[in-house]
Amino acid sequence: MQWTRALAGAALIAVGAANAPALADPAADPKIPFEKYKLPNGLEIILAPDPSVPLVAVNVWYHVGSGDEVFGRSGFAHLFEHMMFQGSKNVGADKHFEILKKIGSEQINGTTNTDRTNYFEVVPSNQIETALWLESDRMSHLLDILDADQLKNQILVVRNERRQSYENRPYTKALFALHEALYPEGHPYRYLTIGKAADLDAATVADVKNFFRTWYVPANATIAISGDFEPAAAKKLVDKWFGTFPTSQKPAVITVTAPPVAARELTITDDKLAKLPEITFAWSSPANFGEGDAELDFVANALGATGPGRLYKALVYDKQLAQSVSVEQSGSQFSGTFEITVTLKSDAAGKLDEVKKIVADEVARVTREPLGDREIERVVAGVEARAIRGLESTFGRSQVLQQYNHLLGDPDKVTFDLDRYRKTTPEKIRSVAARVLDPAHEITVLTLVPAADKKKEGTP
Amino acid sequence: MKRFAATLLVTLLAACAGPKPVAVPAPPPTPPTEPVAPPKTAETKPMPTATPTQTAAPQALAFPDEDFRRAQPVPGEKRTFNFPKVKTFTLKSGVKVFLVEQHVLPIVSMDLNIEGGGLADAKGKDGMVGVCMSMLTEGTDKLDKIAYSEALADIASQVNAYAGDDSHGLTLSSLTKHLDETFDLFAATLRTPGMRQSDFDRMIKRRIESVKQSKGSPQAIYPRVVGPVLYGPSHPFGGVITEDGLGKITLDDCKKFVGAWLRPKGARLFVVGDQTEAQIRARFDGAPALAQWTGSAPKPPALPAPKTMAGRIFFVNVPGAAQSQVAMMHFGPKRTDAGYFASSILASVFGGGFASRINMNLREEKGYSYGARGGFGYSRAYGVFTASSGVQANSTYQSLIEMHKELVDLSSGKKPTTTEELEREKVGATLALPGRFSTAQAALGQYRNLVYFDLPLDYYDTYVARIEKVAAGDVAAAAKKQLKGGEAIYIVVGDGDAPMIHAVDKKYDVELKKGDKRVTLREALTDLAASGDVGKGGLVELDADGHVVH
Repeated sequence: MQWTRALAGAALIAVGAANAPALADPAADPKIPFEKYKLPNGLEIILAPDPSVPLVAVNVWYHVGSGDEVFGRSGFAHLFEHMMFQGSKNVGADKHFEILKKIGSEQINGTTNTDRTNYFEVVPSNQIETALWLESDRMSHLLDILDADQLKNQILVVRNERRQSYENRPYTKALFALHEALYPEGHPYRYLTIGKAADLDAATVADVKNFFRTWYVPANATIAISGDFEPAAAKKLVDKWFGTFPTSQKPAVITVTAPPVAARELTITDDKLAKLPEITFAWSSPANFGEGDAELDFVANALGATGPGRLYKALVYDKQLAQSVSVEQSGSQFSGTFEITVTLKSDAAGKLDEVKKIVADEVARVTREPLGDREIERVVAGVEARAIRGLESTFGRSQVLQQYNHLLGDPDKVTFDLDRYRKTTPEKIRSVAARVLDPAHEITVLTLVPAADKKKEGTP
Repeated sequence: MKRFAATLLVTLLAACAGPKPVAVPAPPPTPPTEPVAPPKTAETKPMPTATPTQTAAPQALAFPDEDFRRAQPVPGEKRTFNFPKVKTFTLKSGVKVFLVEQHVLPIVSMDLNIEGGGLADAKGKDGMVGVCMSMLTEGTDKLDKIAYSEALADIASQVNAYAGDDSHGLTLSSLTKHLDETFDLFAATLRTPGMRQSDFDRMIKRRIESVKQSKGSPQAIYPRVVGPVLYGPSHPFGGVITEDGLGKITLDDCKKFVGAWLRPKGARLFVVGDQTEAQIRARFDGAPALAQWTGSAPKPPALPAPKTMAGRIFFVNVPGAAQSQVAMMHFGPKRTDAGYFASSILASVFGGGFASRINMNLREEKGYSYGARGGFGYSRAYGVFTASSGVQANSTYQSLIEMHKELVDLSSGKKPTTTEELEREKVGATLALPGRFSTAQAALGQYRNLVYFDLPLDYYDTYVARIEKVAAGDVAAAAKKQLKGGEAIYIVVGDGDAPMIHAVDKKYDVELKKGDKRVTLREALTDLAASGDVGKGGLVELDADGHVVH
């Protein structure tokens, strides 16, 4: 039993009571004990101690993402993220991974999305100070050793990331086309976080310097530290490594809205990697945590869940026109998209009208009739289970705190988040569906298997 | 239309007002324009341009640079960590249980694992066990597929079936409070699956479509052809799932498989989470649904010796691919080899992480790739050294040369492992151990590996000492003995018509030309194979099913 306690720690006891009551009781919601404070220079700190495993996750969020990019520099927030791994004055060039490897860190990365950029490493708890050293040096002295060769190399690397994760995968032509249809030129969501190839190539050292001085100021960052540490000792270390940084102002973020678009249908005929036809129906939708965001999760589940989903049942199970169906509400900070994607069977391309009619009918039905109780309870059960599973790892806990802090200004929003699902009503879900899933604003993108490819089929 | 637009804009502004104090007031949103009819051509866009754009400006900040920032901080005192332990016991039915308990989070996962997997595929029916195992989760005798998946979704639980190269099994994942219901569904899945003809027919059709889809990109084609090339098409690990093969599988095959191969004796049950031995025993030994579950599965057939395809470079053409998948591989020592620790440190130096030689070369120096890795991978019967990467189409040829060079430099002793590399990998591996046991789930994964390779469960008690004992000489000897540049085969999946570049010195790449003509990937590989520079045997072109084209 001793190791059990050691593994889990007292921190999460809220969900640990044997035979825990049904989670519909908010008192039983998962809790991550934490403390949040701000240094005089504006840098935010979240400390979430849990001594169960001798590891510490240092997870720095800069409150800038591809959504803050300007015209002609798409993909820059992510390219910049790569530059943060190239080295800083006191750490040296190309040393970051080597140093961390040598102290036993195996979870090291940075990620960029529309909303924010994060950098993290999970280190043995006695090495917390090395993690703080690395993070403080690139927050303060990144530009000292930055050079044009490094930038040139990372543009090549990111271009290859773009090839690997986008250009070399089927249906990404449709993905790019959809975003170009939803967002006008100049909107930061238009070219996805990865950006346009030409914009990546055009990035200069001056851009890197400006971006750093604009967005990577201490007042625009939050450091979450979770795991095995004494809060008082950690505070001293944070003061040592970040406390003498100059006072900065939090840069203002202007919300860039998605203008309404008129219904359009696009067809992609040159996706050589597509071997099955695929069609996506999409709408501009509420932002993450925006009004209606949770409601659309219910709609997405009722339509698309593998097995119970209405469209799954109709298209994959009964009529067997589709290989797969996926439906998702995905909200970013400024706005979101609601997407229904149907991958068709190779012989169903001729039955496209039937597929479209089934999708249109089911969409119309969720805008007209409230979902069933069981469809609603199922989603609540799912989000509650997900909240518990998110607490398993040291790093996962720092992510949960950062996510709520970034979007809602407070790391302690688990119950608020779950209540969005527990307290909504079937009628509210219906009315949000009716507002968002309007055929007058629906973008449809169809990917057809290129003709040359079809001809060759069957011959090796 | 107007009403819709207004509502939407208000919603978005409201959603963003809270978390991010906007110091500069947002300019008024662009007035919604009347919808414009969809254009006939793609050039004209019906949308207004997005007027708001970020106005934040650079801040001139003077950062301090105190002396203490010069050097890496000294670590604090290392804390001891008692790894989560695994408990083993045997159920009445003969299932051997491996349990890692944790009682703080109310979650449980189980995995019933039985030897067989692809080894139990009938001849000419590659993928049979995969299909048959998936039939288990198509519903039970009482619940059709939809009712079955609804029952699981209602309680946010999962029951999944899988088939690997040499084992198959059934998994469960549940909140503790729903474990009774989830376990009932798990037991019914195992003992009384629906096995309906209509579900079977639907599944076969879907799998055939999946095979079609998997021939789309180099990343998806590459794993299809590794087996037949490395082990030979007639070896159990060399089979490829094809449209034809799937068409030959029958529901009767699956009924027979399920009847014979899902037996408790000799099976293993891996459990992690909020359960005790007593609870597991009561659950399995007392379940009426499992009362008649007895007997043992057949012994999987012994593996014949691999017969690697004749040839040196194996190429699959994917017209239009922006990147190629490139790999080199050869057989190596088994996981239980006495030199495991030395080979594993050697492999880390070559390709174990970001700081490894192959990644620093292909990514950080050349910019050909988003990342490259290499090392020894193991099944119970084999060890295989593999280095692989996705590389920009025009750099395919040069990437292959670089991989070969890095391997030979290390094995020949031209660029032996440095003291720094050795230290980094040794110290790193020992210090990383707590991280590998940091959740109950992760800990169980470690024990599971030991069980798979027939290693003792107290293996990790001596792990650190054994890493520390590895000397520079051991790694040098492993490099000479275990890295076999001359025996490696190469697999390239990419666009055969892509024009190549090559590196003339460290800094500069130029177009690869013969006279005035750009050399394509297919031509470059043909010449390279003929030159014998990466070993003899020539170029072999394959299709996406691993068949030789010409």
